[in-house]
Amino acid sequence: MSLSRLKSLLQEVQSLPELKSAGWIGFREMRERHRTFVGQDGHVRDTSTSESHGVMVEVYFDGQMGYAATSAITPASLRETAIRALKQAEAASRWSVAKFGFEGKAPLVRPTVKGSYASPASTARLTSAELAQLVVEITKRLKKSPKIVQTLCYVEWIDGESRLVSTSGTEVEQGLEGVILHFEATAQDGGVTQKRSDGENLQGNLQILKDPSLWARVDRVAEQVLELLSADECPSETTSLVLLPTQMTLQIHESIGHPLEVDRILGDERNYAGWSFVREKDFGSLQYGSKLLNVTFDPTVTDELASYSFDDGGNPAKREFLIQDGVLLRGLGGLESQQRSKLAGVANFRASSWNRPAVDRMANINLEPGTSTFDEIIASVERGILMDTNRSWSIDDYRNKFQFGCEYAKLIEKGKLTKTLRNPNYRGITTPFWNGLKMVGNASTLQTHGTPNCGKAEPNQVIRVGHRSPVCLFTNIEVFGGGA
Amino acid sequence: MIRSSAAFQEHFEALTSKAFEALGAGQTLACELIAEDSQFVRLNAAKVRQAGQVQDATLRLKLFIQSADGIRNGEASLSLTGEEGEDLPRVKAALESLQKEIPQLPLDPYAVLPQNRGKVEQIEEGQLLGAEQVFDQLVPEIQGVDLAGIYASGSMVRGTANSLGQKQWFYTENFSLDYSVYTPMEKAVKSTFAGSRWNRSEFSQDLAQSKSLLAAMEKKPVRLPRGSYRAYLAPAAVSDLVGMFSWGCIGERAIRKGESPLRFLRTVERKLSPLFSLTEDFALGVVPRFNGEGDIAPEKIELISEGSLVGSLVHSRTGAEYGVPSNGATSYEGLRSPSMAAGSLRRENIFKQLGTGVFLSNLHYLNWSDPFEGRITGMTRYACLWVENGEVVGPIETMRWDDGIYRFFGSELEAVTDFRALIAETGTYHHRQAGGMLMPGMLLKSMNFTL
Repeated sequence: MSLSRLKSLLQEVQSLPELKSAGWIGFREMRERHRTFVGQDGHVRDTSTSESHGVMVEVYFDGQMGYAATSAITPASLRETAIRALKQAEAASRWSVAKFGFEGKAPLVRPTVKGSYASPASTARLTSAELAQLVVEITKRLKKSPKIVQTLCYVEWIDGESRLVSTSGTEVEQGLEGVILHFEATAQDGGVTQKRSDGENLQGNLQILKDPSLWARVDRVAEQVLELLSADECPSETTSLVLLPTQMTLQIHESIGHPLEVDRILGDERNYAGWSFVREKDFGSLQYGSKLLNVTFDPTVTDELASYSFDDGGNPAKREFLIQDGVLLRGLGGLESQQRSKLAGVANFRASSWNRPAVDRMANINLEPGTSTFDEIIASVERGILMDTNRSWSIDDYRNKFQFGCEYAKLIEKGKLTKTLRNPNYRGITTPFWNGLKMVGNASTLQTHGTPNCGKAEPNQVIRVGHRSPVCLFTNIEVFGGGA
Repeated sequence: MIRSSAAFQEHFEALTSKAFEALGAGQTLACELIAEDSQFVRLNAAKVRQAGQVQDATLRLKLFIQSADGIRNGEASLSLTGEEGEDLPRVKAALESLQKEIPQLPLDPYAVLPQNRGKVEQIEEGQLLGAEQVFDQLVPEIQGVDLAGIYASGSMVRGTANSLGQKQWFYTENFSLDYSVYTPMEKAVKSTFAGSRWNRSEFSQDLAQSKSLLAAMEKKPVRLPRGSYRAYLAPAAVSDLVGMFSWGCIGERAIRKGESPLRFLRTVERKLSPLFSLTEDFALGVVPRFNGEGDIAPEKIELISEGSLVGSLVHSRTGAEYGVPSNGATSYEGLRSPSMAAGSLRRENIFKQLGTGVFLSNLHYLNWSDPFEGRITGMTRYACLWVENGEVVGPIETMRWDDGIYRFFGSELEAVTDFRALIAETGTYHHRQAGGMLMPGMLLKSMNFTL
């Protein structure tokens, strides 16, 4: 739908007598199309195109927002939906957990803005037949041995758009294109089973699917899964730990991103994913990590999965330091959380789709590069473990005690990478762990990852987030292996 | 948007019948409808954080094209408006796009053509609170306690139809209040009040029970050192462990591919406890017996009987690949309506038989720490207590645990309760989900706590 059509539908709704008591009305239209291709063992397993399209109507009444959402984008349905949203706001306003202020023509938590965003233009186009062929070829190439018992490849091409219009004059149009690529091989020998995988989560760039370097990565997955079958078990000891960006992304996500969400700190999330060990008084003083730890909220990086110009409440997005020189500075709180907590925040009020209300989410949470090369990091370690690619993740409801596992590891002895290790796991507690950050890789070690599946909120939502990180070294970490 | 079951059904039939008319030679079309009209009220500090309603309908089309060299297939799904004049052209366009695209795709050697499995209809109407009533019926009731949670209510539709004449319909109206209450020291108790008829006095009783449990949480917290302890897992905690069977474990594909830790049961190299029996039991009536493709599961599928693997969940595609009969499982081959057999441990004997150990009401954030060997890690959460000589000492500080299914459901399983609780599915990813698990409590000789 065009922005002007959405505006005219809003004007029609605004003029209804039933909505006379509404202080403000906003429409958020979202349409997203996902084209998914799954290959398995040299065949296409699934090909699908799914399109979700609807409108979220928000109505402000006496300090309370009410919402109603519908996939029926017709004038009659939108009128009815807006009336439902107003009734929700009216009834809920008697019991609001917080009253949001109003200035001029809009609630303070829904600024009046105009602007647009578009993902970087893709340099490649692939037909469905080409994408189907690609997933087949990757799964064939992965099967380098009879010991490889299953190969999988998943490609998802996302193409979406969202529009915000409001009775105060907001007009925002944002477009997104992205690609999710995942491939894996499972190998088995005797009673031992191992899996190895690789992939990308990027905005805008389908070119990765045509890049010749992709095939070297496919080969590496196949070679390493076979290597794991006869590898030693990861030892149980307290040692130095080098994490590659493929695991740093999970470490940042679970133990920095989630605990800094201000709605968690305010208790909204405590019946579901949990609370946070971070308290409002900690901002500006908590030594979250060592002085080498610098973390930004940055929705302006072009290729990361959660880049945009405005969040779903219309707050303009910009880069902010969350942690600088190890000190916690700022939380992940959108305008609603900022008003409730009186804390500085960011533009992270986001919804997974048209049918869910926005809440505080991560966008791109990045660990800024340091000064060490990869070789310098490895050379500095007398004995330790290097871990690559997340396999297992679990953390408590306050985001303190975590245990993470990886697919692949290398022993580090006397400054050199030596034996391959399987079933590597490590556990720790968030702030002692980050205070053990001893070396941070330079820009040459940076990689961009992320996840399309960050779960949170009631009603539940999965959303895309991006994470960019260099290689990092931590000291005194408890590592261990697998087994029943 | 459409509201009633009959009107939804009529719209679905109108769209699908016209789509079937547009099929060419060798084409078979399977359709699935997922729809809801829901209200969500998010609560924090016993007040309303967010309140709203969602009307959503999605139609999925799966087209199979059979030619001399085999079968090709593809899927499309789209949001519906509920108005035939709007929806029909979009359904036809989606179908035309599939008809054009699928011939260019590679063959699918394991595709299974839909069949006509007849007509199934399950309609459960409820008595739910009106969308504005909930604020006067529920919110006053929760004042005076620090409560957080989500009230979800409304209708859910699942329908399938295919071009061979099959028609299946599942419509239910229900609600759930998934909530937790907190002490000033942030100790908590969790409960879910769910059903198809709101009853204020029953909810008052449920809340009163939660508040009474909360009193036990006011005691001085106990910090346990790492180690192994005797443990009692209440039914909600057991449901979390059994839920892991859905994650690459009880599916036939995972067992055949060597990924499932249950492969050792298949080869009879290992065995679980004779006290552990698990069934997929659609007699619970909480989910439709048909899956998204319209395959119908038997009313009961025995999976584990007295510690031995006697069945698995088999999707039609897995069945075709391995030449085994499908039992109507979803493509994910996960549990939809599991029921674990009760044992003989009586409720009044739980603390006495536990003696000294931990009482765990709930678990949190489970994940495989070794997926191929069946080792799971997770956290304790909510009302978890340290018990000495059958007496509650106090709530424990949150602990991480890391232990295996061959110990939980095998060597360490000492007793299973003689009662079971229906743990309602309250998940709302993408749409409200139907389902539930009928679970007993379990007493363990030991459980490994690691951090």
